[in-house]
Amino acid sequence: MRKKTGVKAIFLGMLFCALLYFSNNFGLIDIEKTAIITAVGIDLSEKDPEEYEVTVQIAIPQASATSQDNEKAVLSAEGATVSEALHQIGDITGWYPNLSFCNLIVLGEEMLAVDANVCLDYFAKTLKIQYSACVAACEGKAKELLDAITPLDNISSFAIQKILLKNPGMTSDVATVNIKNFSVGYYSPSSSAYMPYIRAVPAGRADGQSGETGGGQSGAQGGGEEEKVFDASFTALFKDGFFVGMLDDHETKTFNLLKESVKENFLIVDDVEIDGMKTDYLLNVTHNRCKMKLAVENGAPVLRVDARIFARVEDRSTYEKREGLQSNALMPEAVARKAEENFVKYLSSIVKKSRESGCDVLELDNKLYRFNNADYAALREDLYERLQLDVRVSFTGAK
Amino acid sequence: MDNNDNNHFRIRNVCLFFIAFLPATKIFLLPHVLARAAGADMWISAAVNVVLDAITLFSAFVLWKRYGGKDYYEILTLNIGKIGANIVYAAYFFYFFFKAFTLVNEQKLYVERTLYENTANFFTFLPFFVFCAYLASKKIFVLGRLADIMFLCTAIGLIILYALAFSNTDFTAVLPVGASGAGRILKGSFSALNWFGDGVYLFFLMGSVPPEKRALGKLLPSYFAAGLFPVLCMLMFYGIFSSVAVRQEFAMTEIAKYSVAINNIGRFDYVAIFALLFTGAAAMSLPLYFATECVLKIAGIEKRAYVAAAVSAAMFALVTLLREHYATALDITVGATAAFYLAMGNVVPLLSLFLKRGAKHAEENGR
Amino acid sequence: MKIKKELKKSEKALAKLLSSDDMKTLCFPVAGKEVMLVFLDGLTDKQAIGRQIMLPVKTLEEVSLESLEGCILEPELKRLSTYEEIRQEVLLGHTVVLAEGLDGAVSAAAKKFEVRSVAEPPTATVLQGPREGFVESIQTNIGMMRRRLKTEDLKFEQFNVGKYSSTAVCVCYIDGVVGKGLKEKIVKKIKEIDIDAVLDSSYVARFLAEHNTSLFKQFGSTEKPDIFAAKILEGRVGVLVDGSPIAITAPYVILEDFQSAEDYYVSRYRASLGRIIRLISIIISLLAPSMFVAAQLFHLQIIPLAFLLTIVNSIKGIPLSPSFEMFFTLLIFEVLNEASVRMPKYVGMVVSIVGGLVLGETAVTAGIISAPALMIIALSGICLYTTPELERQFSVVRVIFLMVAGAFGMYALLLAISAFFIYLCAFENYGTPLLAPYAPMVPKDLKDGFIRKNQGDEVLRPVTFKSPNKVRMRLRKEKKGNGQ
Repeated sequence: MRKKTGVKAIFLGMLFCALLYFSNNFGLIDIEKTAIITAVGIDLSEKDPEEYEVTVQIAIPQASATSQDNEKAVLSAEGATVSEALHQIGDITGWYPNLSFCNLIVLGEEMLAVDANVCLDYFAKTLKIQYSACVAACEGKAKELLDAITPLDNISSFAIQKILLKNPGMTSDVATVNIKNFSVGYYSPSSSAYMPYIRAVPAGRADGQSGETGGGQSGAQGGGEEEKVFDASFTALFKDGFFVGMLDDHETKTFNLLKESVKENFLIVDDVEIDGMKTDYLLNVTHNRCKMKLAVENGAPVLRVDARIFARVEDRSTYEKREGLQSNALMPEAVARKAEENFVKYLSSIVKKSRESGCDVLELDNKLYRFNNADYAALREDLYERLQLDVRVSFTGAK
Repeated sequence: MDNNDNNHFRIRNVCLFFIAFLPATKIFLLPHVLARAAGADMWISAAVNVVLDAITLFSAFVLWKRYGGKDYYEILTLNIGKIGANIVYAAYFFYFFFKAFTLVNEQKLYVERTLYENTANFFTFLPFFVFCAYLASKKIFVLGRLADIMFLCTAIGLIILYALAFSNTDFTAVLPVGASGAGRILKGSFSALNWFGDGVYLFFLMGSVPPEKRALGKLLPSYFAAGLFPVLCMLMFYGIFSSVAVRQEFAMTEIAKYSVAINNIGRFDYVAIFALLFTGAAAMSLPLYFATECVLKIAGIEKRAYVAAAVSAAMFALVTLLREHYATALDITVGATAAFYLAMGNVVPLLSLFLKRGAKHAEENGR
Repeated sequence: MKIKKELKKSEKALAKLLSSDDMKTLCFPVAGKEVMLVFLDGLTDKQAIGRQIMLPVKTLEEVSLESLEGCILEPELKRLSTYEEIRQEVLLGHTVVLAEGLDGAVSAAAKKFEVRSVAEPPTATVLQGPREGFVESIQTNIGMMRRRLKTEDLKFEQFNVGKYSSTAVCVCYIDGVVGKGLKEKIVKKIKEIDIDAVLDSSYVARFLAEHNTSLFKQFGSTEKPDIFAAKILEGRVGVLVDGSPIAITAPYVILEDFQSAEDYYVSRYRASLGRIIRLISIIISLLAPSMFVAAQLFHLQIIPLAFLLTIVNSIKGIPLSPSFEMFFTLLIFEVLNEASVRMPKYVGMVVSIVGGLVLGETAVTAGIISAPALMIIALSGICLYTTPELERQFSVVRVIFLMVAGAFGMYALLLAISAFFIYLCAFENYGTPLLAPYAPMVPKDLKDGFIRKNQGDEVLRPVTFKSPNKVRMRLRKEKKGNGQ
């Protein structure tokens, strides 16, 4: 009898399941009514600078029978908060905005003048978006960046993500950061963070060179017809959520070399003089071992950097028959010395910018707290002012 | 023969029971609770709880050895009479019931907010109570067999999660050790009592475990292995989130997704998450299982299924009634009622070491 | 009713008891007395009746039961004393000899009826290993077992079950190896069967099952005598049923359906790979449709973006919701499955092709179902057939999982899987857990689990079946210097 009761209970349960199953749970959100948001751009509203203009890029799949690539839709809305603007987008399109696939948040140039964390905090708190979504600032308006036409992909945010997430660990051109990293930096005692600074350049001129270092006018953009590619080799520095400085491409590379282990990275060493001839060398960094240690000696903080960088000569701007007979694995001494000089120069520049801007991009405050806790209270206020650098760097080829 | 009577819970089953079920309940909300209470030293708070429970486990072992596989209810009856035993079991009923309330609520929140972000409705979590009642209606040896299968899922799930999270963990974030101060560390341990207290389970299993040689040598290492997982989780959790750890409510989904592999391949950390949810469902149901046991002993009822259904229904009613007041319930759990959890989960088991009446007879009758 | 001495009375009595046109009687005189043969047309060997019964009986000078028994040239002779016994013998295909003046009769087993010849069973084909299969004749099957196990410990206990069929049901075991008390339990249950007819071994299995309402089988089944022999050598009891080529064994563990006969004839690495593939296939079969539906309806975030875009690409314009679409596709598949089994051979191939092309390809082109859904169901179906013995049960479980996943989502699916495991863990038949040797874990039996160890390591019989004779293999170690 008990077993029959059990069977009846299972049968009734299955009937209930079938009711929910075939009625689609009395109205679930259909997958076709979901807006798959791949990127969010935030600018200040032109009508009211107190409000945000939020731009979303939505991936629109094409029917497989048409054999067309996926398209994008770029929509904007304004609101006092980011979430208000996002919900407005849902209202005007009739789609349910799904942020689960949003892997990129771009702050427009105007946003650098306000506390970036006010808008980014929404993404840090909500469970609707992945905490691992990349965050970046851009030159000009984020809306224009997302609307840009690029030969790299139909959907520009995918193209940008390729640059930001290009084989992580294998290159150090971009100081990629996600919402989590930015939040951790913002809420750390030093309240310092950074993010890549993206510039859209015309596709025919993808040399990544620009005389401007942010905060100025944007480059040649506008008129959505021109194809663009993206350069994210600069890094914007933030203190207490406000933009305070920029690392250029060399400084960004040096910063990344210090932070992570890289493979397949390229460094240009300019004007190396060998036998009276000046040559530019392109080095391929095969791997690196960099350690940063903050010590306190005689009451002063000393940053000890021990960087061993293994590289091979990839290319050079001149060619000498005699040199051509040498293996690329062997690095001329002069090249190594010049590369080391450059490394020290850029590292010093990073420290200088940190000092001037107040942004603890090297996380020295954390290191002081963790490893020299006894001296933390005394040194934390003027850590960078009193900081001494002790850099030991070696660029090595094959021996 | 290894398995003369299939209906027994053997020491091997208990060891696998620890590994299968104990870590699974501690990686949802507990890291957030501990981060709030103890900051960077949250892993020390967790370790303190693990050690406390190991002491409870040892007490259970001593009692088990002393009485040669007798049921805890019988032991209490021999020592403090049937009424006394009923009082203790009634207290344990409330202990397990309210312990379950926190765990079930936590699981419900997790499921509704993380898995069903857009579509959570009243029915979403209803199957859990049905499942709970079903598990509680089974005899105890089923738990042992379930552990034999599920321990692999737990171990593999945790290893995958931790392996994915490892490269993004800055272990130096917990330095300097002890900076939060003993006060906060102990406060963290106190707040986490609801999630721990696992040594008590052996008291309720001992009647089903026949005496075995070298049992302690198997029990303690497996218990510590099971305890290591949550401690490691706290370490990694803080190493990944450090200054924003307080804000992360559900560690399990958060710690693994910063791995390079996830970027390249996709969210295959969900394989680990689903494996852990699979075992976690049974792990979350354990307190209700033992609450059912308590009722069965007190009331002397034999029809297990009805009691299981009633206990599960009561939990469903409580969860539904308090669905809007979860935060208050959590505050009470980590605050006022923590003393009750300490008493029932650690103090009463220690006091059980003084139960000796009737032990000689058990020795004489042969173990 | 005792046999009368008057032959005419016997004839009348038998005509009443066995009033059927296929019952034949043949009377002839022998030594001045009338002798009558009674047999069923169609079940007897008439040549044998003529040569081995009529011819020697006609040479008798005196007709008595002893002389009849002495002269009939048949090895199986039986003396009968009642008409009911005569009826029973005749129904079994034996020929009964009565004579005027005798109050008894002699039965001779001059049986001959058409049976299928021994061939490779269609449900268990192998590339390596024996290819004999059981047939419908229980005698032939018993003979095949005797040929394989030439030991006096191999016992057969035969019973006739079924009021109208009187089917021979034979319990087969190895004395000293069979699990304690197991044979007695099975024999007791067989004796309790009171049914009109036993037409197949599954009838017997149903009566022997301890859990009548369970979806899961509680008996192993095989058509191959080598597998049957291997199973009873592990301590199981086998049951052969006349008229059925499927032999059943008990106790049953689910692991045995993941083991193929060929696993014991090929290398252990190949065997292990095969078993793991079967396990993975079952998991895919059960979970693929349900997880796909749950992900589409409730958990878009777990689908990788590129795959999600492909899915949305494919389902654009499909009028059915994902749940309905999956159910409909599954229904089509099950219909095709049923049709291909029921169809005559001649049109079966055509139906399969038309069904696959029309229902599959055209339905996708017409936009009724999407390609991913069709692919998932096809994959699920194919995976299920890697273990055909479990197909019937798991196809039901698959539908249950699909309903649960579509109604409540992935979490409920996980709960359902967990509940499924709880059910299996609690399930026992004849004291043997269904999931042994994994739950409860029996380390010694894991040598023949999903990962197969060296055959030389299988020294002991599986502990799961509680055989009193634990050792099944002894490895001789060479003594150094003795040259042995």
